[in-house]
Amino acid sequence: MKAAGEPGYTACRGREHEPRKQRCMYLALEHYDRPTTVEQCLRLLQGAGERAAILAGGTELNVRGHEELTRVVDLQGLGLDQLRVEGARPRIGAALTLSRILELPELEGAPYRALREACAAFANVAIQNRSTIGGRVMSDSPDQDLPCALAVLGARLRLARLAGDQVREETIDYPTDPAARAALRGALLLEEELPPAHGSSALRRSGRSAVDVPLAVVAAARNEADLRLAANLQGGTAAESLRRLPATEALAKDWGDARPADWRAQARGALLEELVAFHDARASGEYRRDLGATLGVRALAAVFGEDERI
Amino acid sequence: MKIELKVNGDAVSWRCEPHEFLTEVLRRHGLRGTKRGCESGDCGACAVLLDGREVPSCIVLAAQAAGHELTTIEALGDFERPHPIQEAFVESTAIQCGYCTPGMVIATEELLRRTPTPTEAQVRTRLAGHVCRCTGHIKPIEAVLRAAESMRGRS
Repeated sequence: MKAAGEPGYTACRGREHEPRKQRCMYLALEHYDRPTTVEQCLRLLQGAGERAAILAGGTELNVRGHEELTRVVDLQGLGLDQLRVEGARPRIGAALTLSRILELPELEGAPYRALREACAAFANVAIQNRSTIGGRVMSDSPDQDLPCALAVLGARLRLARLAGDQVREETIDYPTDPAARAALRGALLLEEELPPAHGSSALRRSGRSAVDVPLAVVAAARNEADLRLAANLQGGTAAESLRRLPATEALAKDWGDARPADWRAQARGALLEELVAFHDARASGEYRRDLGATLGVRALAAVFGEDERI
Repeated sequence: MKIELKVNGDAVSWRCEPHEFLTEVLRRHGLRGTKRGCESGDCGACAVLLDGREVPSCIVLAAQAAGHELTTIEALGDFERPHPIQEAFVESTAIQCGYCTPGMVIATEELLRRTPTPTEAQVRTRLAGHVCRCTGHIKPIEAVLRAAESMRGRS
């Protein structure tokens, strides 16, 4: 360690460090690659194993411990930052940033509102300008909002992976439980495919500001044929808690447009039965469950086109 | 490694290490208006415009910026010829220690370019990622609204 005043001395965050060249922030990257084909990208990742990572927006690179990484493979040369619409189905390139998703006319309107609300809720505008939808989906610690929105919208993921010498592509339903999320390991996400624009969707969360981690998030989507609900009561805990809510979905589907006068009370009761509560230093499980039920009723009211006031 | 990019309108070719973030490389090249802060994208002190969009330069690898266009606070204005946003921050006394100010000015530039007549709520949302350690968060909101009015007047 060099003493203050000696050549090469640096101080970082109030602590003394060796010069930054040896120890720049928390990373020890030796290679940065920007491949131009999916195959090149997958081969680079395979070659370096656990010491390589995909780099999309990079919003987590300097935040979570990544000291083990020696190589990052940047996706910006793959042309995944576009939206395509095929057969009325929007296909969102994995490298599209949350800000650009918020500006796309194809995703305006009621059917995809939950997705836009999830993008707008994430961190702050500068982060939304960098953070990509693919990065949020594939992150080891996905935020609470986007998974809820994608689950109720019935999103599908187009993935690529190496199988021997070949690049194999597959399309899977958006995974809503930890076991299904394991299927994402080792894959490169190419696109998120959404269903055609029908009906409406909404996302309700308990966060009060752009920097507030919400205790509960609930999303709902409804069209002529289906109604979906999903909740995430994680609220800063380490638990995986994204869940579809099939019992409340079935109840609300049965009502159709002929909802009983006390539908809010019935829905609230069903949600309280179905929501799984977590308890931590920030809030009790009961409080979280109650909050989730309230937000669930509001999300349902939004997709029914009714007043959200409880 | 060598990266080629445009910085404040000039094409440059800079050397950097794969692990270096933009904040460090910019400051090494004398662009010290970009401040070091949280180094995790939370405080906004290091904000720059990348292809016209505000990003925290502490979480963007310098290599990621290759082939793109960067604008730092130095390009907006200086003491002799301040940008209307900088004037508005001075006139509104929206500066205490000044450490967070370049980031807020950068954020304001993008906001007003896209939304020339922002509401106070939009300004608050926009500045949400900018932390003032002197806790002066009210005056910058006034400054942004003043800058919007001033820039509308000039155009």
